[in-house]
Amino acid sequence: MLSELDPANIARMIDEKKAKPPPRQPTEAEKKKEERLAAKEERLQKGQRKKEETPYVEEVYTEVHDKSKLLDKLYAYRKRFPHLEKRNNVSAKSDAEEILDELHHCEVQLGQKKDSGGIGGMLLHGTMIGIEHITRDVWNPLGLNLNGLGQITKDSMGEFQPLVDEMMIKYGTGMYLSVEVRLALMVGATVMTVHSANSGDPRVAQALKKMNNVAQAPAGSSDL
Amino acid sequence: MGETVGSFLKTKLVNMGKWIAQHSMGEFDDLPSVLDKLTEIEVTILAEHLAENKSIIIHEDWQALLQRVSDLPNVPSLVPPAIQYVRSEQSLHEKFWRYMQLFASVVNSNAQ
Repeated sequence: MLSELDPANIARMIDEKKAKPPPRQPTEAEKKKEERLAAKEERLQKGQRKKEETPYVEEVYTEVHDKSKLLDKLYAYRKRFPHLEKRNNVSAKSDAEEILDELHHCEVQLGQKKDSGGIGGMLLHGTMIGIEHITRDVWNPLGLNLNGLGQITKDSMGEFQPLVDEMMIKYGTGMYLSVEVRLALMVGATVMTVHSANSGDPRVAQALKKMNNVAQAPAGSSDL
Repeated sequence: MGETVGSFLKTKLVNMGKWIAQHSMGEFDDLPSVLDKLTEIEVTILAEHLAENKSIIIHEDWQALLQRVSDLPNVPSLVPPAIQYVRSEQSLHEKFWRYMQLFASVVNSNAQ
């Protein structure tokens, strides 16, 4: 029992305590964790480098808008078309982005035809009329007789309307007609009317003249 | 300046649609809106056809009227059944032919 007090034994025990335990080998899971942490560290460093580069790119592509010009345009729209609804209350203090958003909102409203089935209905009707004319006058490899297709489509618009509306909602943001397209459509319709008046049914030419005469209502027709 | 022929004819045609819809108890409720979609020039052409075939109106010839209307392009498909309905209702005949007479006479009027 007292042998533990022997100075030689005491010195040996002190040496044993001071000596480091043999290094433990890392397990497979610990190795994988190390790899993941290293990969994460690398990703973070890459992200940091990108962020440092981004401000330069933004500066290059930022478009400079003249706020006063945008506001003038917006007020001109509102003055000419007082029925336009507002989305933002914009003033000289507003950001260019807000004014641009309001301008876009005005243009979308002007490009949406509310009556007779809207733009979707108008496009569908126009397409059907186009198919009818092409198969009749230009190209009809299947020998289809599609006379009256445009008229039947117009009459059945109630059945087409839900589908057309659904499609308009699905692609809604990009499907409004710009003023250039609307003007082109109107010019096209006028050209077609004059063409049919000059080359087709002479009644169209007569009707074009007569429709703008001043009507003289016969006596006793007020109840009709 | 008064109302134009095109506008006047369209107003009266839509009125006729409303009158038929009112009497048909729901069968032709869509008729006014269908007629309202016609352009003024389409309505004027329709009236032109009536003016050219005044004998149909004078003799109140339903068969010829239906034939004529069915042959015309741009006439809504709801119109021939509406005429058939009016034909089947004796009490509506007098006013219907007054409408036809009105269209035929106004299309050739010019108050200027």
